[in-house]
Amino acid sequence: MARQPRGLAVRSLILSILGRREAYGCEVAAELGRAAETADLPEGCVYPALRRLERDGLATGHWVEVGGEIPRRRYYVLTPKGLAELDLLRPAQRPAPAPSRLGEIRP
Amino acid sequence: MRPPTPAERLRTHVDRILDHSSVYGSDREDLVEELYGHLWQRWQDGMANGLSSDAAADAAIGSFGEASRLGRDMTSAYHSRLYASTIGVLLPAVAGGGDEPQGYGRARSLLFLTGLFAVIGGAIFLSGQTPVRLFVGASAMLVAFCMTVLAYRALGRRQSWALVYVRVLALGFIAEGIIEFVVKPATVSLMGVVAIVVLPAAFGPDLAGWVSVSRRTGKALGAVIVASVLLYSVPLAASVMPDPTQASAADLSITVSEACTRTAGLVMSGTVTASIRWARTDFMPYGLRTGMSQTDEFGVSSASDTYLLPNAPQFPYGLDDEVVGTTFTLVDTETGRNAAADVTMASWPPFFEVGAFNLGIDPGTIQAGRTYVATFVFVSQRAAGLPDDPAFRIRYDHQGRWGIQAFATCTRPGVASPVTTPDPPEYPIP
Repeated sequence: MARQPRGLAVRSLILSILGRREAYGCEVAAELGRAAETADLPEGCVYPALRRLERDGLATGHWVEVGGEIPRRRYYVLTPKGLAELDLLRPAQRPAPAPSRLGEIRP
Repeated sequence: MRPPTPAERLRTHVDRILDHSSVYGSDREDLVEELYGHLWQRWQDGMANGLSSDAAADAAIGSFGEASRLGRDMTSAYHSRLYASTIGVLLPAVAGGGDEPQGYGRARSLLFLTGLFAVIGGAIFLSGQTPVRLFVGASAMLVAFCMTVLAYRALGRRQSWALVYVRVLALGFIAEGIIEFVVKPATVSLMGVVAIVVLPAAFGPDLAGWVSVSRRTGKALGAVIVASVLLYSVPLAASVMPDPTQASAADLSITVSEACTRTAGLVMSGTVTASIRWARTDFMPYGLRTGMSQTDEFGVSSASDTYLLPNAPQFPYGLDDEVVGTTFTLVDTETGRNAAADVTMASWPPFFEVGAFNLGIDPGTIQAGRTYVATFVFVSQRAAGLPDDPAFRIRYDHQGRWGIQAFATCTRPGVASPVTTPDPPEYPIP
């Protein structure tokens, strides 16, 4: 399968992460670090990518107080537009179907 | 002075990132808090995994990414591509980044403004140039611009040749500013002023120390740098270079004759006829622009011994207040139409004193291979007629670049020959 450009891969992965649950930057960066396509990226690159999603109306951020000396966190959640874009991405992210036997009809 | 605490180092790294960006106001405040929160979390994680406080801070900063790259990326996330690649580059450069020495931002601003004005000014200036001049000027400008861009990037990578480039560029702009000020005292060169501001930093110890990590610039590269800076002056020099796509004096021929009516041997009136023919005309004389920057000058004047005219034969009689003109027309012989409508030369008022008169001709309306006939009719102001042979000069100046002129009397026709332009002043003989 052809590889996506790095910027698109980051964007797709972040959409995918935020599609599962809302998350703050540090969490998103940790998940990107576990993905093969983005494991070597510096963690800070998640923030420009998140800001672009906000700018494009695909996600919104809100501050959450954590308590104690822990700095408050900015959580991101997908907007309906972001969810729609994620739906468009999903077929491409599915694993390729197993080869079918001759004559078998697959959905 | 006490060393910074790990938390302070984390904050400093956040500041460095944002100093490399063009994000301001509440957006910047949010980012400060968010980025610091990330680094703080990683710092805590590192300590929880057994690292010391300092080592955990180092690890957090190290894994977060290079400040300048993140800053630029942040700018592009907040602004359009155009902004991010122009103002978004300039503002952080002026403000200065994290580790860079004193004067670094000013040096980079000089490079940035040089490139910016080269693109804008070059496009405006070169678009009005003739084809060969455009090609020569644009080629030189392109090479010079690329060198400026390389120097801009190289200075960020602490390469010594970039600092040499900044020094040569600054000195060049200052020299140009001085020349401009001497030639036109009312004008001040903007880049000259910028260069004066940059110069102390360019020759200061901070920037020299900053680039000392790289190899010294050799003489050969130094010569290339000087040459590349001088390339910026090529478009101006090219604007006066010969361009074979443009017509020359050899492409225009004018023959002049003068027919006189005499009474008792004295000249009562006459007609000066100039036959004008272009072998070829200019190709794209205004470059990529439309319209006309200036007209050609075509004129008739008295040629007498009371004036010093270069290349003029000595004529025996002054005409300044002895004749008046009645008509002056220019006709396209192919169409037969009066050029008053077609070549922009109008018929002159019925009477005028013959001195030195010029008319503007739009060279764009002239077609090669056609013959245009200018006719100038004069009559004597003396009732008895003129005792001598009245002489006239016909002169054509093309775009201030070259001209040709011819003299004729009743008995002597003339053929135009090249002369210097602009028309030299005519000094009365004392």
